[in-house]
Amino acid sequence: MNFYSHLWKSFIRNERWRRNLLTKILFGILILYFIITFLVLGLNIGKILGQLGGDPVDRFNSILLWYLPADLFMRCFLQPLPTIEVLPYLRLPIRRSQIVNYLLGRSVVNLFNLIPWFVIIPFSIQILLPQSGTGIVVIYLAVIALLLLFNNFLAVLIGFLIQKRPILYVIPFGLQAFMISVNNWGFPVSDLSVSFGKYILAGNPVLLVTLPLAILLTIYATSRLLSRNFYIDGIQSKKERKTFFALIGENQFKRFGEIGRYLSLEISLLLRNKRPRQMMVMVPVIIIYFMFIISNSKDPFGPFFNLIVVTSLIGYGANNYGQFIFSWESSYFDSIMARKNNFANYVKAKYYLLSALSILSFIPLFIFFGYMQTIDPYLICSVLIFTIGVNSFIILFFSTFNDGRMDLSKSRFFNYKGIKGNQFLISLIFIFLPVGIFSLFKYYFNPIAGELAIAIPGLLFVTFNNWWIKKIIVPQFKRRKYTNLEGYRYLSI
Amino acid sequence: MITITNLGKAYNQRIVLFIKELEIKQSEIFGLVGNNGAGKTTLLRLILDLIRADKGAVVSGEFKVARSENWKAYTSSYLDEGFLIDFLTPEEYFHYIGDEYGFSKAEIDEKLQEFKVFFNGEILGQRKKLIREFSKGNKQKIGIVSALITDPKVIILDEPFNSLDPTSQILLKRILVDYNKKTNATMVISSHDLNHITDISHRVALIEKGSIILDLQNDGSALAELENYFSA
Repeated sequence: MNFYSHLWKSFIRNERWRRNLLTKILFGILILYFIITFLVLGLNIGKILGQLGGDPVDRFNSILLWYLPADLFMRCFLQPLPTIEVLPYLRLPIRRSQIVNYLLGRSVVNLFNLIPWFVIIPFSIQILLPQSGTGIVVIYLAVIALLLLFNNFLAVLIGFLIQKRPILYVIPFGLQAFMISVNNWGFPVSDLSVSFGKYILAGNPVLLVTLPLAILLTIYATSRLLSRNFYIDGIQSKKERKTFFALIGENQFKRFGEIGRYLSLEISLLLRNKRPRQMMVMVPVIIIYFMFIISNSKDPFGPFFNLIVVTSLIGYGANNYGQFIFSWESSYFDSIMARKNNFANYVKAKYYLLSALSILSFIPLFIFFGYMQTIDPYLICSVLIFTIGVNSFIILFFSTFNDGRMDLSKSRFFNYKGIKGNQFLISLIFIFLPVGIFSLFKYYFNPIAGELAIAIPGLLFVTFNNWWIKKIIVPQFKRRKYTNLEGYRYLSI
Repeated sequence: MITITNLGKAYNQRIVLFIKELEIKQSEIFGLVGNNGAGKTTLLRLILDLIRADKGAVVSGEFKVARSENWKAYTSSYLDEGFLIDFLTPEEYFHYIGDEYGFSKAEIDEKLQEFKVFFNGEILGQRKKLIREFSKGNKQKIGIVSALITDPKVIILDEPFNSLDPTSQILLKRILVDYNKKTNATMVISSHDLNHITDISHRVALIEKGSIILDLQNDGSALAELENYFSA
């Protein structure tokens, strides 16, 4: 069947996939690591549950209702959405339902549906089988399989909805927040989960009927949603930009001269295109989510955890915008390089925006943690300074290596969550460099030394931004010019 | 104005372009024809320093394009849709480019008036329509005009007649010839349309498998010679 072989080829022949061997290896190792971890956990499940005490079956079941929403949450962000460039097939005699079925079918092939079984099957054989007999075990496994499948299709549906309206990121976050609230309002989720497990083990066939129905409903909703994309005009939604349109456009920052011109272009880019807008929406959602988690948790998190949260949240927007800081403009990069431009100012405009994102994230966090008093406000300020100074430098430097084309306007169902090894690495540097330096100085001297140790280099980098932009970033940007120009023409991220 | 010496470019050891010597004179309209894959776009990209030359150099005025960036101040170009910033409206885009070259909004608006007929009332004054929502032909017009409004001394255009309706093609020929007469600008224009290119060019070069195999002064017999070559 040609259609299916095309889909396979489009996956295999993705340029990025071909070129980036390192990412492939990194990914392979990560997958292997998860499989081994779960396998070891599964093989020792009897011992572990025995050590925890209580009835081992109840112990195991008490995790169920924690695991399932967490699983859905993770899937919403990590499970790759099945994608296809529909347009070339519209004129061919291929049934639409065939395309939809393919998309949904392929979504089932992923690690989230595989890894849990490394634990569940050993558990069923070692513990459940001697206790309850074969019939019950089969029902138990069937219900779990259906629950995972339901999560799978629900995540696909939510994923597509998020593609349509980025604000719907609140669904997975809201669900998590809801679970935590339920737990805190006197309905311990673990207890509910044990009862749920007992209900499954009672062998009641109700779940075996309702769950497939729920799955079918999700599939139906998804295919309804997808069917709209089978029209050329359905692929571009007309409504999207109107809301943001008035916000910016012509040079609003005239008084900043040339930098102002680049700045207003950059802001229009972020607001008028789907993909960057999707990213921007995530920033407040994540900040609010973590505030909710922290203010609702019974046991206060340790200072180290708080520091990591603060660092990653202050840098979250800057990190996500910054990783692609040059790639955002990939679709018209040729023209940037062919025209007269002052690249020092060009980079500086990006640097200012990067800083502004950090500061905007910092303000609510500063107020929030000032109220919670779980972390030293001076430390938060130091982290901000470090982020604006050192981290901005790091990210600007490394983003010049990002030579993939970013499709801003083409709203095909396209999504490469996952194959972003190097981006992940930079995110880790972003967080653990300041946290590491602070912890080191705190450990050997005192917290104030730690704060100074991140604030001072940060301040130096902020003060001398002119120098390092001109002497390091711009030359690096020019060195990478030909490679990036070529990559932006052919590779997609 | 543009001097090319020993210019070579290869991909995976396959030579896609080699030009021993080529001089495009000041105020010349230099037409470039050739079949698909002959190396036209590669040559134009090399002139604009958008790909790295493996050998030789392009010199624009007194500047080596790969060494200096001063030539960008007097050069403008439109190669493909990738030159458009498609989330801006046409006017925002023109103003943005004008601003890059130091023209005020009012100056740009005045220059745009000259293209009113070419735009056919479809491009200016659409305050809410982004470039990405325009048709291919109108995008092409926006791109070409964006290359003409900054008073360039050197203009590089890749297949400017593509996607344009017949009226616009004829208008464009006049626009380009007039601009050349008025400003003495040097123009490098590639095209697949032999009639159009011989109508406007002072000189036409035929590129084949990466080399220039014919270089004709356009004195009347060029069209026949080219047609003869391509039909063989």
